[in-house]
Amino acid sequence: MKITFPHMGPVLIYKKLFERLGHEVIMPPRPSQRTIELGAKYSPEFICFPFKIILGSYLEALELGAEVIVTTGFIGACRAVYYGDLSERILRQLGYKVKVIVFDSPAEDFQGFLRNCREIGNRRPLPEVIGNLNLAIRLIYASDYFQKQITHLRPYELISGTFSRKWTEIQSLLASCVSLKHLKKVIKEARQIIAAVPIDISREILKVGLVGEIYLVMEGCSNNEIEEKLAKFGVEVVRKQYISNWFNHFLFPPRKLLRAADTYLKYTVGGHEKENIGYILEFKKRGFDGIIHLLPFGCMPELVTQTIIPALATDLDLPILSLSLDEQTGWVSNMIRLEAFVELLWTRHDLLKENCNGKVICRR
Amino acid sequence: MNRGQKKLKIGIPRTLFSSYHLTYWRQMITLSGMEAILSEESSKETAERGGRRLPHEFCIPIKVFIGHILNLLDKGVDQILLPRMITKGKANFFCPKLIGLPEIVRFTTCLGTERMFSPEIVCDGLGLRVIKLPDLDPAMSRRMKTAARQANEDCKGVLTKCRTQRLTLPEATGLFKIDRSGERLNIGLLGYAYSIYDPFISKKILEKLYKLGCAVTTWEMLEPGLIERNLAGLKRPLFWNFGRMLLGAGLSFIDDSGIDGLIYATAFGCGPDSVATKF
Repeated sequence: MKITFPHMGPVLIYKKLFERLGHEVIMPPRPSQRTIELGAKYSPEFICFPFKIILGSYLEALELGAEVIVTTGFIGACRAVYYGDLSERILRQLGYKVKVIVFDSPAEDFQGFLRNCREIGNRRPLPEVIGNLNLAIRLIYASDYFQKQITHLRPYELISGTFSRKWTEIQSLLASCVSLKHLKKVIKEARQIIAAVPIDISREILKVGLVGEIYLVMEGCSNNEIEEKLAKFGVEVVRKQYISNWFNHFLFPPRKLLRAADTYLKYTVGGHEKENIGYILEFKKRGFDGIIHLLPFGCMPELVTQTIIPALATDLDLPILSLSLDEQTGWVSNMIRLEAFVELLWTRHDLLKENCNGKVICRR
Repeated sequence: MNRGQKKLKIGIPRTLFSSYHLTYWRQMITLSGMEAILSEESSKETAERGGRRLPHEFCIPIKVFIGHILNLLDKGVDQILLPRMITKGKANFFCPKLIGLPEIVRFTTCLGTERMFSPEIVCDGLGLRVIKLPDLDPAMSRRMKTAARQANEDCKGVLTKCRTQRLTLPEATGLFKIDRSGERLNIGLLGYAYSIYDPFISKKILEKLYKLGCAVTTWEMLEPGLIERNLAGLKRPLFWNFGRMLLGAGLSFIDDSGIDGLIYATAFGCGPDSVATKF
């Protein structure tokens, strides 16, 4: 089977997993302007932005000869529930003979989950499948760990762009990993790569938390590499949404985090809105300078968060910038908003210093 | 409540949930000894007032809804009815905006929680069941519960009336009257009750169709069993409560030779509809 999957998170590792299970993998090309245009052309008009990107990347993968799409699903009030079925319907209507395998949560549909596993397992013996899965999960955790490290260190880099290059290097290193033993060696190597990058740790930087819809927050290509852009302004962007984190929350719901959000939103409305409010509260506690909230245009759960954000910002005395994105987004205007936001954060940062006496000197 | 004490005035915004279950809410409130006050019909002004309070991406029904709340506040009601609609059942939800409605209202109109009357409601398609009442004294709660039972009966009565006499919801509740004569076509009209029956949102689509000599068939005139049967054929039927009914109705209209055409009225940026229209 020629398999493809949505471009989300550490895609090289998914590729690895499917290849080890004996499938041929068609890598979804990294979403570009063309992907988004393709997706938007064939999507329902009002569907949310992530769907358009994902549909576009399916179409590109199908052009390259993919036959089967593997994706995840769940049951909830958010539209993301239908991504799998909706894309299958659209692709079939376009004349592609494609099969979409949607992995639902095993807690909700165990039979279906097993059936899908058997299909993806490709008649391999169970221990082999589990072994490969184990390796893939460990690789995902390692990859997220290094990504966190890199976003943490990026604002300190002396030569701009070094960390982004190193990140590609580390990704391919991880993807070349063949066994758990090998993984240890790879992790060591990756650590050395990161340690070798010249940095200036004495630099003064701002800390901004990134929250919002999971796909837009996680995928650099959908948010115009907001993390890298902000790092150039001397801002460290911290986000909590990673595949590993999603996995953890799926297995062990973050009760404490959700309870903290109760005062603002008592019931979950279908997406990650409660988690996001919890993250904002947590970021405040950790002394962050500001928050950036990303949502796709017309996103149903995040719009609820957006109505709560003004109250949150006042209560916490924390600047929060909400950006709504879709295929029409003009990034020039958004960059100006981001610059203004960062400027505001610097001013606040200086004002909060003790010896400032309310006088602010323009920094740059 | 003691005699002589002023009756508590509860405002019912005449849109969203009450376009479906107006009878229920009105009966429940009046039967339990409170005064039900309806907001005025929506107009351009309602939508504009509401829209100013919200992020601009919200769909028009929510903007109108906030406008209705502001209208009720002008009227000087004591509390505003804002039920928390929850659904039981695995594959049945409301649109996130409807679940989070009390929060949206709380944070956009700065309405204190003490002025919100939000019972928690389980809504399973058409029937409603109160699961948690707001904090009231025990006597009141008891009265409220009996009232709710009665109200549910009435609500079901209205729906039966819809089915047997082929009336739309506002006609059955007596909010809207029109003489229907010379019907030549039968149009299947699909759309949420709060959109198509709202004189501002739908620009009086119902009246216009009647004037053109069309009979209108809507989901409330169909047997619930028929709707479910049509949905059963789908691999992953819609999870949104109101959307499900529409989709089921739409599918049966397509098969029904008595229906000459279909109109699907949807609000700009409506999330559930963006998915439903592809089916």
